[in-house]
Amino acid sequence: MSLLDVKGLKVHFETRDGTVRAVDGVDFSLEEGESLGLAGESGCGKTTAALAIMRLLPTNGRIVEGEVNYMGYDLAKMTSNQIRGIRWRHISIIFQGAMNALNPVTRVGAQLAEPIILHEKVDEEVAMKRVGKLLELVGIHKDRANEYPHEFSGGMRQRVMIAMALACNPRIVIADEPVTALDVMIQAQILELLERLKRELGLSMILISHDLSVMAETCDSMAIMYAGKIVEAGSVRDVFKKANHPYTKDLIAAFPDIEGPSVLPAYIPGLLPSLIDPPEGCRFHPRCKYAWDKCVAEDPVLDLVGEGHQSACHLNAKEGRPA
Amino acid sequence: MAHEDASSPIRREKDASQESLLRVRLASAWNRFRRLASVFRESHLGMIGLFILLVFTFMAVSAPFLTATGLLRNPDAPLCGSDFHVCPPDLTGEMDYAAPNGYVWLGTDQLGRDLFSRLWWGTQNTILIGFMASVVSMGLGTFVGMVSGYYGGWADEVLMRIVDFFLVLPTLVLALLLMGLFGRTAGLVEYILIIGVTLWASTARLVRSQVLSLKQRQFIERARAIGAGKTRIVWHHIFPNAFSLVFAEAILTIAVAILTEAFLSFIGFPPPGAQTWGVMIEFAWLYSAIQHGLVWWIIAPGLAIVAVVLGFTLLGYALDEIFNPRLRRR
Repeated sequence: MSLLDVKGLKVHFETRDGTVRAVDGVDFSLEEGESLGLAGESGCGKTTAALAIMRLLPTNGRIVEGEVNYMGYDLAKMTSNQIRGIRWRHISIIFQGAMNALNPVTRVGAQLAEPIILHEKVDEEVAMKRVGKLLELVGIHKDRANEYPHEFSGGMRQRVMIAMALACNPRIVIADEPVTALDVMIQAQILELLERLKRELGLSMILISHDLSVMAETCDSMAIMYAGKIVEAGSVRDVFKKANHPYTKDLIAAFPDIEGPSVLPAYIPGLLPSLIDPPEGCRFHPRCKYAWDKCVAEDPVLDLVGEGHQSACHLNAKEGRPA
Repeated sequence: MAHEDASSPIRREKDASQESLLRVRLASAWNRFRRLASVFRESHLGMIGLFILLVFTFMAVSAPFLTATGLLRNPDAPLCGSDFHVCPPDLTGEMDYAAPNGYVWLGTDQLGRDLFSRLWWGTQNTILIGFMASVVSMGLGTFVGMVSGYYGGWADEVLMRIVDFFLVLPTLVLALLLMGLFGRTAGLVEYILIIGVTLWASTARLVRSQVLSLKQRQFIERARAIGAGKTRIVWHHIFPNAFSLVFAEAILTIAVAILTEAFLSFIGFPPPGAQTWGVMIEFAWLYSAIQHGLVWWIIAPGLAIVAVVLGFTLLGYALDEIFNPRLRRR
């Protein structure tokens, strides 16, 4: 059994303009020690899916359907007190733009100690010792625990947030765009750090990013999301080398290749569809170069296209497809 | 991985293992204070305000000592003789309404008491009442603002309508109304509560708006994610961020509270059992100071009130400039 098993997850947001179906039937699973990448363009539901796992959705959002199975418990059905026990002890998250996730008027050390004190009922002294170790783990001198967040650089604050995610020895760490706001040098540092920690501590990780190169470097398997659904999933090698879904192919083509001929990266015309009123059939069909009748009429489901490699595309259908 | 700080020799010198946690913290707090102080020193108006307040603080604190050592006359003793000595118990009011002279710099009042000494002694109560009223007002305003801003919903609706009620009534009219209702039977504590209650509404608004913006910040989401409950988020994460604003507002409110007290005293609601500058002016008016040629009986406490209000206002704005990042000059 997988460590984390998400089945048919649907998350809706109630807004003034109608119900936004931000995540619309998503399945994925995470094995012990594995790292899974969730990729897709902005607004496709990656972050929402991740927040739903920890039940951290904003007040107007809720899980309408589906299961989030973790060690035999369905997180989606837990009471708010139960889920508070799961948060951080079992599953923690590195927030998008994590460098802003520190309280500006509290010492960094005290903030790192907060989850430890909250969850493990230890006194401050014990917690502060752990804080020192956590900081060293991410390459920050433990003396700096007494400083305030503004005395840290952006990359260091990011590392503090990573240290905080590890504070209660969780089994799963969700990293939501962990390197997005950082410059390339720091990005490399942070990714290397995540990689190292994962190896040393045997963490399972869900990495969310729109940057496929980040995925290629750090993940074992990945899932591509489009408009609230997973369109392709498989090992990183399969998804990159044997991309099946037109959206995946377009996404890969949108990244410049330093080894190939020097051409401008391609882009995908059109915009992400409205999630209040998504298009009939395949959600990608309005932007898809290869769309045919069936794509407009019928919503494709994830199907195996290779070993452990799934794709949801009618182009894989054997019958009735135009040549 | 960059061990940029671990490799620095300066860092290594003061290793936390050799230093107690407390000392490191005190050092850090001291540094923070010094930084703020250096920003404060750049504000000339703030420094003037601080100077004014230091003078008044000296007056407030020194009054009992100066009287005990005989440098200041007893403010409650009638004076006798051409050298204005304190009367023997059987004599009263020999030197009533004396004009200012070398002995009594501001003259004497209707009972022959030294007005200068009364002015000096009035500092204590004036500042204390202003300060306490501000504390009451800040407590109430901060609590209402935090609850209203963080919990929202119907609690917010109800509380804000109450705030609206207090905001639309002019402060002085409201204070008069409350005094009319409770003032006659009120003790000093109730008197202070009444002034505090007339001044809390704008603070509640201010705090609420600050909380509304703070609760959208990402570190609140993080606090939620690590499993912190609502109470903890409000008091450990939101309150410390709003505190500096409340502090600056508290200083400004002291000024308003002192003015309110002076106004109420003059109108006929003096603080029970407390001698303040407002009470001095009321007595000057009641006992026709002008007809007796004692203009300083009115002008001196009046100037004192203006000066102390100015002092608190200047200090308050300077602090606001330090704590409020939007006003901070770089």
